[in-house]
Amino acid sequence: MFSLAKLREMLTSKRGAVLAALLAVSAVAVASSDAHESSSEGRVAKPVHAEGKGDKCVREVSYMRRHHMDELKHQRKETMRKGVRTTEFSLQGCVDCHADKKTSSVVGKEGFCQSCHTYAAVKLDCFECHASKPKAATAFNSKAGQGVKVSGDMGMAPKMHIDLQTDTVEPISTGGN
Amino acid sequence: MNIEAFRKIEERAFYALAGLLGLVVLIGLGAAHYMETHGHVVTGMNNQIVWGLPHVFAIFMIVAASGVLNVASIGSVFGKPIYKARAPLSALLAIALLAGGLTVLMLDLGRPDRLIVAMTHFNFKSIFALNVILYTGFFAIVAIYIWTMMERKMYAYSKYVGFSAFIWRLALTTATGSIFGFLVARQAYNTAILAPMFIIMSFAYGLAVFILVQSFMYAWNGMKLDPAILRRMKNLLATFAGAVLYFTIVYHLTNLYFAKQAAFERFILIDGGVFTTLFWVGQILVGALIPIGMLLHPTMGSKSKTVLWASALIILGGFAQLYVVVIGGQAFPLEMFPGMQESSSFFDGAIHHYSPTLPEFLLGVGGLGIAFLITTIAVRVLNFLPRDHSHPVAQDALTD
Amino acid sequence: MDKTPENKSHDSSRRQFVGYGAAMAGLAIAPGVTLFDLAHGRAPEEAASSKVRWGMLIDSGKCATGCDDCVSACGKENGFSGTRETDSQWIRKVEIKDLRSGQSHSLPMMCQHCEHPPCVDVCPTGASFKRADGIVLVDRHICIGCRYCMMACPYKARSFVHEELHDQNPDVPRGKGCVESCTLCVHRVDKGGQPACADACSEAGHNAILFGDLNDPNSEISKRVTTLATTQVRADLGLNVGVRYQGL
Repeated sequence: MFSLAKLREMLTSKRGAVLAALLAVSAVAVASSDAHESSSEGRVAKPVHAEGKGDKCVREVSYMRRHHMDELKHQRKETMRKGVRTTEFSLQGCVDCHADKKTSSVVGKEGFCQSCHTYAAVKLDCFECHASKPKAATAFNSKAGQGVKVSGDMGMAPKMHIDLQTDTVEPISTGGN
Repeated sequence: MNIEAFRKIEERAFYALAGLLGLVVLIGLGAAHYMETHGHVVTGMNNQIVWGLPHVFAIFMIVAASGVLNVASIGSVFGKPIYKARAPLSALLAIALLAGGLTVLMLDLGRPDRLIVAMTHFNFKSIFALNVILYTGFFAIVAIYIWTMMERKMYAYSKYVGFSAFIWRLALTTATGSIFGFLVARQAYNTAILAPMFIIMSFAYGLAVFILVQSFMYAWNGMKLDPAILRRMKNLLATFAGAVLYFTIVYHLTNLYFAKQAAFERFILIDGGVFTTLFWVGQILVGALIPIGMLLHPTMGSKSKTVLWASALIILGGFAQLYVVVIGGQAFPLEMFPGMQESSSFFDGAIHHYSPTLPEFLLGVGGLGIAFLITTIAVRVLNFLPRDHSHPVAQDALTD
Repeated sequence: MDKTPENKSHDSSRRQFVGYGAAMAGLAIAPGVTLFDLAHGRAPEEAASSKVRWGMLIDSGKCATGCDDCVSACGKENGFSGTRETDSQWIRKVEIKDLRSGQSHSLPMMCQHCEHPPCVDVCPTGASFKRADGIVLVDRHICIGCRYCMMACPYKARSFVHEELHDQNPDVPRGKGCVESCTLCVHRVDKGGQPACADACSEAGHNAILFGDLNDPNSEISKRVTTLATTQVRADLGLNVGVRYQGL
């Protein structure tokens, strides 16, 4: 086994180094996790409320501000589990109407969803999986008959942002009242 | 050496050890963060080998966690004094190892941020969901067990709590083995023998881990472990290692008897490359034959060094065995059309490849770090050191 | 709120499967009123029903080696491609060869939409589930990415998303860290269409994939399943799959 004296010798010389390394690693870890959250002027930018496309939303704005997540969650259950495909509270409907005119997306710095979520510091988890652009502005617009070929190495996919927002086809009915 | 000087060194040594383990943990967490942000594409895992090195580490720790409690059970349930003195340490190690293993398992998830979902949505038909309950219950029961052993007023209950912990632990390892045993799709699994096999594996790995940690603690405090105690434990360890070997043989003999399993057995036993090597050299030779030979050797077997080395070998063999079971079992392709040769762009009919990457290895090691960090700190703040001299019965037991 | 324009836009695809009459009737009836073929005329607010069981019959005799029209159509519809070990493959062409007789077959393999799916049994959170109409899906809102379902599936039908994705089809959400598999193009089926693979196969004139309701005795698929010798892959497991093969 080892003797305590030997251990003592080892430790008195190395303890400082170990602790320093420990601190350094934790500092880097904290810094890196903060990096992508930082904002420009030290203050979080006020959310952007671009006008939606329709006359008005499916419910009062005040209601939507408070309850959009509940409605979306309810709808997601109905659609996912039961196959109910009503459009009133479908996420696609939100995106179709609220996509930014320039980027045709609801995410991004000025995006309808993201700018507010950033301001409120609430994680926006939807668009890791769901499309953040209306169908008309994506490669999957079957009506336009293009369906961009996604062949080749899928490994490149994260880097190859296809931007087809030049195509400003009006979104299909999003269910304004 | 006077007490004062000893205290001083000991304190420094503690902080250094805790710092070192903390660093291992931090690196592991960093690796997990890297895996989460980049996706599992940075690991060696793929759509063929879906569970990799993190699972080998995690399952080892979870299985050993249940087995290490064996020492306490022999003490409390079967009333053996020398094991009773070690029961608190054994219970502590059980909690620490389980925490380490579960952390690795959790951080390897595709969506570790959804841990709360795993804790709130249960599909009770899933053995995995059942495990979530069994693991949490294990933490609770073992924590209460430690309490009953350390608080004099609760002492009377210790036997009963110890007994429930014993039963719970058997259920837990049965369920862990059944994660694989209930998989009807794959040839390596789909057998009930995996449940008892995992239990006996837990006995061997757990005791090996316990012996190593115990020796480290004695050395740390400048104490010497009574050779008689070690002799008892090493005989038990040899028995457990032998039992693992027995279950392994039965498992493979059963498969060899079934014609439909012949190709799979050929893969593991003869031409599976790294899996064959790990099976024969890692699992059978290093993990069973050599340590059993060492432990049962008439002269060498009683030396503390031999027992420590044998324990280390059994742990190494355990990792090899889990690698063969978990990854080797997935490497062999699914047989969808028996008697036919299959091929496709999705690697049907082909042996699947897995080459682990650094992040997943570091995540696994980080889990070990968590287990030993918890142990180190707990041993420092509470009295977990086995004390045989405070148990006069133990002294009697040693003389027989 | 007016839903008819949405319905009309899917008319053309619906026509391919049901007759004109049924389609027109489906449009004309008030929501909630059921007709004989409620399957394809299902109104958006109507939930999927267990009276229907969607399935496919694949004629391997018509499925040519080297043809992957169904695979590329699926990739195009659902947004995946690539054949690296970490890439998703919801459907793939499997070539099988009997080593003794030398006989070989080519067939597409995908989620078999079992009646008793092992993936659903093992899923700890209930993210893997079977819809009332027999379609097996992953609810990616509660999938934690444990991959136990991939261990359990006898058909290797499931894939894990190993890296971040962009530009998904708005109808087919998918993303990093979750498990996915063939959805039987549930977004098309719900609107009266059929899976992209079946469409592509018949458009190319192969007609090797027949999609339909296994519960409806009058459907083409039921008639063929009851009269012809069809095979369930790994029938020994007793999973009662929704995808059947013919000519194996």
